[in-house]
Amino acid sequence: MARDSLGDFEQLILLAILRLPDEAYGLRIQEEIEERAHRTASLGMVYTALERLEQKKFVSSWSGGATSERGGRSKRFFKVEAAGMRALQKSLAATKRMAAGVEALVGDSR
Amino acid sequence: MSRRGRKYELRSIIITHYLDDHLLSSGRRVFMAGDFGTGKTQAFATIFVEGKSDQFLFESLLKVPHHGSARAGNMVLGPPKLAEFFLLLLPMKYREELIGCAEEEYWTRSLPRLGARRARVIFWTQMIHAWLIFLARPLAGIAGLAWMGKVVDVLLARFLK
Repeated sequence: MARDSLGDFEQLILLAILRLPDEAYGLRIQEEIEERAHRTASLGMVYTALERLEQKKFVSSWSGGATSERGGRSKRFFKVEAAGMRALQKSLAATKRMAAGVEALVGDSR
Repeated sequence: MSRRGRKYELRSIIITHYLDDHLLSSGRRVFMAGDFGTGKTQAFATIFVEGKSDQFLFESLLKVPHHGSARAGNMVLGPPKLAEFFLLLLPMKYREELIGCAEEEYWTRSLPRLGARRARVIFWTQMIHAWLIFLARPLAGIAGLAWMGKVVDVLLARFLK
């Protein structure tokens, strides 16, 4: 797979981060994916994908404050970078092009 | 917080929104948040009380000392320490954040919705899944790991919903 291409789960992660401005951290991203994409995602999956996306410079992160219900551990917030946005646009456009003309066959899966 | 045989001073008890939610809806479960401290350190804890009737629950809550000392071990139900230890061994960049999220999920999502036993199972499942994903990266292609990952996925799907 090319370095700038996105996997299915990575695409969901980037979309979840975009949906959660200023509160995109592991657990919220996981919840967003489960609620909207109806896909079970473990925290291990989410953090592994986030690490990978950060290596590719698609996202950047910063440490937030610690809270008591997290056992005093801090949150790590994520933000989609310009390279990530370009990769996402490319990936969504490819999906759209592939789906064009076969929507009737695929049907509405909502 | 709940180390064997150690006594902790219970400074104050803050009843969280769970009290109203659960008391009104089911009358069987009440969660309370307490502020435990040993002088220098302070920690948040959730007290779990289960009973058959509202009256029983209120009486149970009144028995929890609001001042003075209390033995925390038998009333604080935290995430499983062993699973947390295994997570600490995970050689991941964001290991601490992952553990923080697992704890937050335990206290704010799993415990109030599903009760202590299932919340602990979910915590264990998160730990196993995190390790499987870590192991599967260099060993991708080994059928056994993929199969185990699927089993954990099914378990997750069952317990998280």
